[in-house]
Formats: sequence, structure tokens, C-alpha cells
Amino acid sequence: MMRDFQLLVRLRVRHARTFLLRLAYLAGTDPSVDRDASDRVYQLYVAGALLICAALLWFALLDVVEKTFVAVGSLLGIVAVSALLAMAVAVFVHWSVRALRSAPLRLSHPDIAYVASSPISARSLVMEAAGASLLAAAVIGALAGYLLGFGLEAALGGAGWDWFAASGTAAAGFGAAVPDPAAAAAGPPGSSPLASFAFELGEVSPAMAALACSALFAAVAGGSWAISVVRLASRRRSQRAEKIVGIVVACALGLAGTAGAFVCGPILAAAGSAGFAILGAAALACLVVEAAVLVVLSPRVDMVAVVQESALAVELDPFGVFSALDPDVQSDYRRRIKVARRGPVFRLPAAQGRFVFIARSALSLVRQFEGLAGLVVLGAATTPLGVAALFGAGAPVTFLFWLMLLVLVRPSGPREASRAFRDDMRVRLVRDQLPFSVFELLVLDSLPAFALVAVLTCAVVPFAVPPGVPLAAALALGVVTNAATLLCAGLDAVRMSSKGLRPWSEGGLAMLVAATAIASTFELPWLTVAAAVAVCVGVALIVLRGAERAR
Amino acid sequence: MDCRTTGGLERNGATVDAAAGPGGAPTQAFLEPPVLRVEKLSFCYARADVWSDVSFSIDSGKVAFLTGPNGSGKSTLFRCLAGWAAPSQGTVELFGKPFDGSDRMVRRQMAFVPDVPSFYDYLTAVEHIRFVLAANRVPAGEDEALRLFDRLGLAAHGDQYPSSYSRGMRLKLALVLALMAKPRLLLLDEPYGPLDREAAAALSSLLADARDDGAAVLMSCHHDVPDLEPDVQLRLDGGRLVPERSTPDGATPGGALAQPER
Repeated sequence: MMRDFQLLVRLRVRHARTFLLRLAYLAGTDPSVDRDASDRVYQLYVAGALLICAALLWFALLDVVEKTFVAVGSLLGIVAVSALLAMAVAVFVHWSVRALRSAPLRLSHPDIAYVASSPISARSLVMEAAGASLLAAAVIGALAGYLLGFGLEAALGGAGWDWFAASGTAAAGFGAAVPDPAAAAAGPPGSSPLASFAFELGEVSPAMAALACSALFAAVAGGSWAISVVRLASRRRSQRAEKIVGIVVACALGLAGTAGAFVCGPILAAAGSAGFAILGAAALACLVVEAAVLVVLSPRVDMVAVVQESALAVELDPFGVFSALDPDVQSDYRRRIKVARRGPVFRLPAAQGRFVFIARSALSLVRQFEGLAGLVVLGAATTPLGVAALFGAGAPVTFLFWLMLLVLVRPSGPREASRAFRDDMRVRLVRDQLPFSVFELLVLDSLPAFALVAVLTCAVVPFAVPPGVPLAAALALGVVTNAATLLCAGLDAVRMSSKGLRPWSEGGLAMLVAATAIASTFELPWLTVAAAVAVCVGVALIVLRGAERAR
Repeated sequence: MDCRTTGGLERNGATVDAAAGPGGAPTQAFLEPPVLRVEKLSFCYARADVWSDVSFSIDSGKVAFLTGPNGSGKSTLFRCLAGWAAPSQGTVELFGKPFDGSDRMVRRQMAFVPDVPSFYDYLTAVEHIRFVLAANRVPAGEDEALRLFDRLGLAAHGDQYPSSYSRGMRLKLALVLALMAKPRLLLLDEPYGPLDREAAAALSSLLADARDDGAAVLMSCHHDVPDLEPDVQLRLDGGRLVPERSTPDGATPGGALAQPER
């Protein structure tokens, strides 16, 4: 087993190396290829710069923590300890529920092909993955605990370091020249009104707090792993029932634990080092029990269930943080997988001709309900913001926010509202058999989404516009703006002539914002409405007369 | 929805019998332009030529095989013919008219099945069929379409999403959607690759029926095609198109992989 374990650790180190290489790409270098002396110097420089930045950020964080605890006093210490315990409970519940729904052991496609199918034991796989999770949790817990301990020590008037003053050169070059916002905000020691509330705080060193919190978070991670392994080691037919029971129990424990955290927090804070030592010892005891559970039960883990449950994460594995793919492509891919796993609900209504498009589009909203969030954002936030800006609410920069919401924010309302239409343009095999023009498809496919966003807009706009604005004009502007937003999606599907200019939807949205913003300067509400109508008509004409873009 | 009964069948005041088979009336060639004509077509990625100076034509009621090594650009050629990609040079004519992909009426008379077809994520396989038929107001066509569906072995999987299908099943669904429209031109990119033996035989029978009904078929293939002899064989190799065999009676000695005479 040790040899298997070592092999898996080497594999994980290799994955970490790949991750670091990708990080290096952000700095414009590839350490595996760029091996000249000058390249190495540059890579060392980048690494050194990042380390120095990280160190300075850490010191600055310590400074903020120290000054805040000194200003507020012991009450903050008690609240912080309670919050840390409550956070540990919340993390435990979250990880446990996640571990009950899907296996925490993630096997990529190559892992399934070459590792899980090999003689490497399930115990080695589970222990190695759990060990990595526990180590990561321990590091995070140690950092959080150190900050807490540092703050508690400072609140007691302990030897908090003035990091910038201690290093004269650094202070002269950086700290002294930069005003200290934390000190300015916190004020002189004991100046906060809360400082008058005297609470007993026991002495605790940052190192002791770091060790205790490290053990605590590691125990939290270990607990979620243990729960998952117990479930996966059970007989297959009882796994679903255990999953449901486990989730309910975890949530109930979470609620009780959170309440308990705020009861035990003051006690722990008052106990000081002794309290943290007891906390750490208890966490270590839990760790021992969890490790025993993992060692005993991991050989019986149902690897088939592991592969099935981690399938979604496996499919999404290529689209990590540094994926070069467009985020829209990634989210579409995620949705496609989830929809496929979910299975169909309801049936395509028996409509004919144009009505089948409306029915199909409505069915799309139901079966792909992930997109409803984008429609709600469009109808209840984006369009009312635009209407409010056009009627004089907020500064002129509000128009830019409106445009940003239309174009940049995800989930994208315009994108969701035109999904059925874009699907028609994408599925060429079917599109070529549909006896309707691009404009007809755009209108028919967008009707259900338009109805939804229009209702939301009409509900919100009366509360968004400034007083004195005619309500009818505001509602009309909201509806017409939504219509123009949806029509702009058609610009992506046409070109001005068979070989001509290609319009694009974001350009149309920018035109909408610009045209209505200019019209709004005349402070005539119905003129602004007319400008929005003009944009609608203009976009509709471009789509009507443009040549369909099949490529 | 039968595209072969609509449009393009009259020229110079004479009606052309679209149901004529491969050995159709001699006057057909004079009255009806080729279904597909390609003149000096070239395509390049960046500055690299994929193929150049490709010229050929296919008449109605003919089946043409396109062969070539992997990476020779067969799929790219299909995309250009279907209007999905723009060639760097040359022209494509469908039914006697220049075609760049923008003419919707022309598009309705052809069907292109790519090697990796796409579908709606949220419609089941049967719903795809019903949607297309309902959009065209041809609900009566559902029985025929479902017979096609069954003939290609998908009857038991109609209520599943295509995204849960295997590769072969997805191709079968695409073939059903293409064939049920009875197009005048069928462009099929590697249709036999993922098919099982029964489905391959069924497809050959369906394509033979389509040929007899006057459709033109161009498809790419690597392996022997069961029960279907081409009228024209084209080979794309080294950036050039080489016509291999083309006989008036449609017989092609040596099958689909016949090498050009040297």
C-alpha cells in the first residue's frame, strides 16, 4: 500500500507542477520550455516578486488585524472566536452535504483509465486524496488561527509587532510614505465605544491558536470524508436513503452547532491558551477517529459509485480556472451536461406552424431553468436601471453601468432571453428545414422570455423611476427597451448583404443605450420612448433585410 | 415537405421528370442543370492550402463517393458545399444558382449531415422530429419519419435527449432528420463510420431510394459501403480532387475504394 500511496503522491505533485506552469503562463513564461539563463533569471524575478507581494500583503493584514483588535477591544476577540467556531461548523455542514451528494474523491478520465482500473487499492486512493484535503484545510485553518491569535494578543495589549516600524528600510521606502488607513479607521487604542465593554480574554499565543485551528479545520475536512466513505462503503441499494438521512442530520447538527459556537466562543476566548489547547486536542482526537474510519472502510468503497458521482466534475475538469475557453462556452457546456443528466420533463406541446416555436421556447425555459436567473436579472434589475437612468436618476455614469449589465454581467439576460433563437441558428440541420426567416424565428423564439422579463420590468419600474415621471412612459420605455434588447440578438445571425458587414448584438445594445441616452437629455419622456422604438425598428430592419449568416 | 416536388424542376418551359432514375431520359441533362456544380474551388487555413482547383458536378439521381486520406480536407469541402464555410476561391452552384449559404429557399432543398451533428439540448429525439414537422405543418409526416426512426434502430430511444446518445445513435438521428425532408441534395460526411451493420444496410437502402427519387447524393467514406454502388467516385488527395470512376450506367468496378487508373 505504501508504494501505491507514494505513486499517487508523485502523481499529485506532478499535477501541482502543471498548475504552477499554467500560473507561469500568466507571467509570459513557460519554465518547462524556457530554460536559458535569462529565462531562469526572469522566472526567479517573477517568483521573487510574487513572494514579496504575498509577504507584504500578509504583514499588512497582520497590521490591520492588530489595529482593529486594539481599537475595539476584547469584545471583538470574543466575537471573532465565536465566528471562527461557527464558520467551522458551517464548513463542516457544507462539506458533509456535498460529500453525501457526490463522492469527494474526484477521478479524471485518465485517473479512471489508468489509476482506478489498475491494481492500486481503493484504500490508497481514498487515503491519498483525503490526506491532501486535510493538509489543505489544515493550512487554511493555521492561517486563520494565527490571525485570530495575533488579534487576541493585540487586544490584550500584547507584543503585536509594528512590522513597518521594525524594518526601517521598508518603512522608509513604503510604509512611511503610505498613509495607514487601518489606523485612521480604527482610531487610537481603546477609542471605540465598544472598548468600554470589558470582557475577560485569556492569553493565547498566535502559534497556539494556529495549531488549534489547524487541527480543527483538518478535523472538519476529515469528518466530511469519513461521512462520505461510510456512505460509499454501504450496500449499494441503501446509499440513496442514507444520503437523504445524512443531509437532514448534517443540517440539524449545523443549526445546533452554530448556536453552540456562540455559546462556547466566549468560554474559549476566556480560557485562553488552555482553551485552545483543549480545542486542539479534541480536534486531534476526532482526527484519529476519522482516520481510523477511513483506514477501515476505504477498501470497501464502491468505486463504480465514485466514478458515476464524480462524472460531472470530471466532464468539467478541462474547463478550470485557466481555461482559454470563453466563459459563455464553458457555462453552456456545464448546462448541457446538467440538462442531459436531468432528463426531460413535460412534453413538447402539440402546436403547429408558428405556435410550435413559442411552445418550444417556453419548454426550453422550463427544461433549462438555470437560465431563469439571467431573465430575472434582465427584467428586474438591468432594464429598470436603464429606465431610471434615462429618467434622470443617478449620475451619467449610470448609463455605463446599464451597458455593462447588458453586455458583460453573467448570467447574461439578453443571452438567456435569446437562447432558443441562438439554438435554432446553431442546429443547422434543423434550421434549414424551418420555413421561417431569421426575423420570424427571432420574434417567435423570444416571445416567452419577453413576456417574463416584461412582467418583471413592469413590476419594478414604478419603484425605480424618480418621482414626477409619467408612469405610462416609464412602463412603455421598459417594455420597448426589453424588446430592443431581445431583437439585438438577431444581429449575430445576419450580415448586411451576402458578403457584407456583420453586425453584432453587443453593438446593437450599445446603440440602444447611446440613442436613448441622447434622447433623454431633452428631458421629454415620450421622446426617449420614441428613441427606443426607433432602435427597435432599426434593428428589426437590419435583421429583416440582412442575409442569414450560416457561418 | 418533400423538397423534390417543389421548385427547380422546370426549365425552358419543359417539365422534368424528377423521378427519373440513374438511367433517366437523355433530355434531362439538357433541361436541368446539375444539382451541384463546383468550379475551381479552393480553401486555405491561414496561408496553407487545404485543397485547390476543385471542380466537379453531380446530376440529380446520382450517388457520388468522396474518398481520401485522413486530413485531406473532405469535411472542409462538405462545409463549403453546404455554405457553412467560405472558400478562398471558386464558386458553388446549387440547382443552377450560385450559392453562398444565404439563400434560405435553396438551403431547404439540401440536407447536410456533418460527421458530428448538433441538436437541441432540451428536446428529445422524437421531439426533434415532431418539432420540424409541426413547423412545416406536416403532422401527417410523423408516421413516415418514425418509420425511418425505427428502421435505423432508434425506436426504443425516442424519449431520450440526443446528448445521452452514443455517437452512432446521434448520427442516426441526424440521418432521420435529413432523410425525412426528402431533399434534392444530400451531403453526408462519413455517414457509415459509426453505424452498425444493420443500420448501414438500412442507410444504403434509403440512399438508393433517394437516388431513385431523383436526389443527388454526395458522401464521404473510408470503407466499403454495403449494398450501394456509386455513380461517381471522387478522391481528394494531396490538395487535389481526382475523379476516379464515372460510368453512364452507374456501375463502378472495384467498389468504393477503386484507385484511379495510372
